[in-house]
Amino acid sequence: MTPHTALRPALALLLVSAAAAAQPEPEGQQPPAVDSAGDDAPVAPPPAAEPAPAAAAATPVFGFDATAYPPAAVSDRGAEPKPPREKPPVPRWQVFAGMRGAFVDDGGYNLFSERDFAGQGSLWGARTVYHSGDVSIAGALAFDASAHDSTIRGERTSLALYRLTLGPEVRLHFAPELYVYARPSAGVLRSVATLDESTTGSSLHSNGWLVAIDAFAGVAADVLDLSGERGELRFWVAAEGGYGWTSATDLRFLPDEDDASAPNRVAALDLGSLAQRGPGFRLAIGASF
Amino acid sequence: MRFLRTSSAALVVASAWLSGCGDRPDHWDKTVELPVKQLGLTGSVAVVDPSLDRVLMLGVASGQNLVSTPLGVGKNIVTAVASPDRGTLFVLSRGVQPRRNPEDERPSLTVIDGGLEPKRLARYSLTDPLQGLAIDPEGEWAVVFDAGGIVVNPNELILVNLKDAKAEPLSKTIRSFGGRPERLTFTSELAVPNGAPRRLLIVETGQDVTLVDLSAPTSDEVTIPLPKTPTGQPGKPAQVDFHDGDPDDPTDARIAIRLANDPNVMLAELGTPPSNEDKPFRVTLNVADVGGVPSDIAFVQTDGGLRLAALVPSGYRATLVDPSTTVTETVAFERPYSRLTRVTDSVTNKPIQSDVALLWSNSAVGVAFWSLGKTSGTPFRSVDPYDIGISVARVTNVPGDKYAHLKILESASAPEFYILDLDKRQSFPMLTNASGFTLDVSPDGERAWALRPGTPDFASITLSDLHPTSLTVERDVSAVHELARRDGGRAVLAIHAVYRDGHGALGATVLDALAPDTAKSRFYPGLMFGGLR
Amino acid sequence: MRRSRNDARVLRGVALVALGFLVHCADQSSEDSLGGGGGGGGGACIGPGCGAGANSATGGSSAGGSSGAAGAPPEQEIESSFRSPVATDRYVWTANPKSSRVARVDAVSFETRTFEAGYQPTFLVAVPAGSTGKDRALVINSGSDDATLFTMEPSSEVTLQSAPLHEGANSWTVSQDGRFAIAWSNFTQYPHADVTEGFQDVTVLDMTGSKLTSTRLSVGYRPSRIVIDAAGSQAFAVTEPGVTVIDLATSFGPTVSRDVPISDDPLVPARDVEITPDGAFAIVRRDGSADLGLVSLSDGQRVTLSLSGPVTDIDLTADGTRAVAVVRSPGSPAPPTDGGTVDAGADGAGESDAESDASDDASNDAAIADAGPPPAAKSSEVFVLPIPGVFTDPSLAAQVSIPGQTVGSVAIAESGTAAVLYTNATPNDHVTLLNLTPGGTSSYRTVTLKAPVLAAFPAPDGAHAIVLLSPGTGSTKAGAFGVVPITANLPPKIQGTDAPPIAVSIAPAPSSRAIVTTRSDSQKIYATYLTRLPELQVDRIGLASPPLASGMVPAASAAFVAQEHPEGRITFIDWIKGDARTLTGFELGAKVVQ
Repeated sequence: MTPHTALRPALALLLVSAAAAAQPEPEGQQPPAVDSAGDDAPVAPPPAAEPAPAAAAATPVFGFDATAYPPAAVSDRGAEPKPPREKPPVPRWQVFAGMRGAFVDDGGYNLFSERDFAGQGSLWGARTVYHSGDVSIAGALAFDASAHDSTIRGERTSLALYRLTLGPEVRLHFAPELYVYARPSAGVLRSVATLDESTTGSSLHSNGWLVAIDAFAGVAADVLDLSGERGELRFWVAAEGGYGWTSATDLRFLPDEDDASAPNRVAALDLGSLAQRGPGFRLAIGASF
Repeated sequence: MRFLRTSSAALVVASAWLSGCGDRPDHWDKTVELPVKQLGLTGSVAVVDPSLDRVLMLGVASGQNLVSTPLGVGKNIVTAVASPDRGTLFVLSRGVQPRRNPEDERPSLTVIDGGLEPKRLARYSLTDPLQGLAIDPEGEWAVVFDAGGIVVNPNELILVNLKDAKAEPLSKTIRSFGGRPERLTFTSELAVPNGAPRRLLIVETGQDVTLVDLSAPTSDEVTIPLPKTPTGQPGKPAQVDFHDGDPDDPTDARIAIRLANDPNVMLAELGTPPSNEDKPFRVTLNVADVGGVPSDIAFVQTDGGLRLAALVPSGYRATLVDPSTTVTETVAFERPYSRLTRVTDSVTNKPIQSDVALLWSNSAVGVAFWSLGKTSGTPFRSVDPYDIGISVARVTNVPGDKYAHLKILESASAPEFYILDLDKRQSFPMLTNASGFTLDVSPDGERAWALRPGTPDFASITLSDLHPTSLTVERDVSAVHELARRDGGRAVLAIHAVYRDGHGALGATVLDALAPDTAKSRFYPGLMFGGLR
Repeated sequence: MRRSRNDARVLRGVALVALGFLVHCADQSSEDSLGGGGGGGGGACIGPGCGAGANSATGGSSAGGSSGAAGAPPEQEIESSFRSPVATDRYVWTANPKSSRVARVDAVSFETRTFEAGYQPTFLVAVPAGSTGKDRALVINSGSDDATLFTMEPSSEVTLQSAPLHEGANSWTVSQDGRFAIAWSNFTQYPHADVTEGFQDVTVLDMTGSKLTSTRLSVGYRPSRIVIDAAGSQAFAVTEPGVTVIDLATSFGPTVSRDVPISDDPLVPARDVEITPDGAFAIVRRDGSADLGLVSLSDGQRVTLSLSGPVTDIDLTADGTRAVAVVRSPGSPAPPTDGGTVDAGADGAGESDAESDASDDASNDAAIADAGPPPAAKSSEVFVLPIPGVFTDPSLAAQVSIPGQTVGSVAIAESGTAAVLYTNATPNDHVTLLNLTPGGTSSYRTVTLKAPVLAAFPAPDGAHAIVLLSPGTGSTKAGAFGVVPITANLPPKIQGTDAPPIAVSIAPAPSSRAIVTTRSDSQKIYATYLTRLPELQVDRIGLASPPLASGMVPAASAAFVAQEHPEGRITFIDWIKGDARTLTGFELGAKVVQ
């Protein structure tokens, strides 16, 4: 499988997200006011955490707790300019899309790739569930998917991997725009391996469910803040690295039971086992809201 | 926007860079080239995998459970040969050529046990990349010859003593007058006038014959020139035979040489050397004209003594040559038999003094028994023809003693073959549904297997009662091999070889050999992946 | 038959060889000399109709016969040729003109060595060791007109020396002491030679010095025979006009000293000329003449002895002290002579009236010719003539009349103790054995062999004779021969053969073995018969290819038969065991590298 192939889903996701983010705002949907000083002007630090006034909760926009943010005064012509909207200290919801790369030195994987590198499209989302000071914790759900194909001694092989992990993301915010995080997670990996074997004239399959455990740490940076009155919309870039581990599954290829073209009583073709273990990284672009 | 574009580009570059990290083992990229050489051995089937410099030894543990044992051999396999008893496999490898680094592998000869527990028995490192391999039927020697390097010495032989795994191979360059070794024959032990009985290696080149003393390979060899043909062309050997002569006479061992396109046969007697020479023998040559270009020769024992029989199909006869006097006698045949097989040892009631031979030909229908006894002063008894309706292209022996009296006669074109009972002088036709069958006999000599390669059809014939069992598997079969099973039974492997999209693949169907039943067979795909991780 | 003296020169007692029929029928003049000679013989013709001049008497050359009785067929001659292998000690030498090599085969070990001779070595002869004590052989290289001498040194190495010859040499005469060899040209091998071709060149080789030297000389027209005297000092070339005398050992080298006429009419060639071993005399017989001439070769004086009828054959004993002359038809008219005649005495019993009536009357001759061959004469006469005494005192001649028997040819055993008398001019199955023991009474006895006699070969010891027979009417055999005890009064052993005999070889004295070789190309039957003497047992040994020549190798107790084969083939027969061993491919065998 070529690197480009592995990256296709990730790139697509990324581009779609980027395209969506780059769409001009439809009329009437003004982004929240931003610092008139421009994008480069330093952003006023968020006010110190104070107990939010027990004001009537404004209608949440973009899901944020509007009580943390004083409602923008209705401005009319000639009214005094509104004060700049303060960036929330921690993102509430985040969605990232990007690619995951893993260095998989596994014999089983060699059947499906000429390289020890597995690229996957990665999509994860997080919801901050706790915030205290500079630390926040979010629950993150990640989904990685990839498809690989190759040939072994001329016979075509293909492997589809689907990983779903869930875990907490512990963040340390240096600024509303920057935080580092660690995210241990666990989940499952579904492998679907196929071998087009010539003597049977059929496709032989070997599928498995694997336990997947990831331990990643990274950094995320707010690179574009388009938050406005209607709510927060910030764009992030995240990079993380870590280690992914899965259990192993035997690669025992057999034809489908309903494959009438395959010979009867085909012995399983044992080609070892498959496990996705090894260091990895993610690069993603996300948005928070 | 610019950021997004930049970020996307960065991701792509990073991925591309990262994708260059790490390679899988290159054995996955080595395709399988057809035809795949397979050799049936006693306890396993050897599948030669030149791409990966290994041999896959397929065995059957129990039932239809196939076990694949990959054994590495030297790099760049040149040839693989089974021993005549099918118990051992010899694999010749060229090594890394040309060698640039000290660690580049040298040529080698690997010896593999072909029994129930295949394993490497020995590996001999050689000095030069040679291409030919001749195996001693008695399992004592292997000779590597036929150079194929950049600078070649075509007359170099490398003798490997198979009895000693640690012995260094011995390199010997035989005398050359322009020819190069083409065929090697190992004799049995021959008595010589001066010294202990010994075995000789007969090396046929394009224009002479060399005798190498295997008891002292480093001593000078004997080079025998060949006469020119009647048309003036250099003589070329076509076949050799040997005989020890009278067991009580150490001076009458002989070697016969049939010459290509020449009515003459040569006899080389290993006679007494001059008293001032410390040699085991001295070769004395004789040339006999057999009256036509012979197609086959063999020493035969008649009541009149040892003779060299030469078949002359163009004359519908055989010529018996007295090796001492070169006086010839002619035996007329009704048909132009071109091949002769001594079957004396295969018949139950062996004649006391004289031989019995089976005569056959690919271009004449029928076979004949030729009894070489004596009657009325002529050294032959009778020629009994048997019209079996086919011309015989091949005669297969049945190993072992139990059915040694049976011979399997195959035709090149007819859709039938015969099982010939030498004792009863009966022949049993076995009809097939089409021509193009090949036949093989199981190593235990109990069954014969008939196969039409390229089809899913084959059959087993039990030699005890000549009962055939037809079998049709689910894929086309390229070869059938019977072997011993580790649990004491016997199994048969029907090998399927497929070529698709520029590469080959091998599979096998495993059945029980004693009671073959395709309803209880098991199919094993992807044999060439065996042992790869 | 004139052969016994020549055969007596066979080196080391190698048996006389009579060979047959492949090459041209050469006459007696191509035989070995008085002194030398080897064992092998060549091909010659046996039987009626072979060779040139079989039925006519031409200039001293042909295998003609006497024609004393008008229309009587001549006796047949048997000669040898030098294309055959020769034997020295235990070796057999054979020449291959195609490869220009000479092979030497050890008859005991069958080891073969080949040597490069000149171009196209063809004619071999064994050379007596003489004072050198070394085995030697000479070959004429036809292609390069030179000769090669092979000498076996004590170290077993073979040295080679060459010397030029005159062009066209095809025959050898070797002295008894092995010092001289004369290469000459036998004109009978060139049947279509122009009349101006005199074949007068001879080359004398001197083998005494360290260097082989050759001297070319010229003798009389068309020499038919050259002999060297026992002393090895002179050689005598029998030519059409006379005998040319060559002095061999002068200080100037060999020179032609004189030419001695042997008859008053030099234009009439003689039929047979026998020269005594000491070279003193020549005895001359002419076809149809009752006169025998004795010529002194030292001063040319001639004396004539007239016998009772045309002399059909004459032979000398080995020592040259006696001659046996045969008059097949005593009393037949003979041309006038110029010397004393011996009163042939009574014509003996059985003289044919038909023969006595035969006259110069041409019509009578024609009538007789028209009536077919005349009946054989009866009671031939044999004269035992002391040489040279009988020419001065004719009374010394001992006349032996053989009543009821017709004999026309004589062969004297090398021992000089017996002679075998027979005729092959007409079918006759009798041979008469004449006792020549000195002091004996010339007694004789006649034996019947059941088939017409072709030729007789006494053994050197005179105890037996091998007689070749022609299968008679009604016989299904292709040939036959008889083994005739001479000294013992025992019945002969008659052996039919499936092919005609072509060669006979008898071991030297004591002659215990003989081989008779047969050949039939049409039936492809080739065999040799090993004959044990005195047991008279005959064993047939088949041969793989057409035989060419045979001989004896006494040092190896073996006989050999050379055969046709592109690679060369010889069969050796062990006298003792009777085993045959064939060797084919001499040059191949010599090329084996061991």
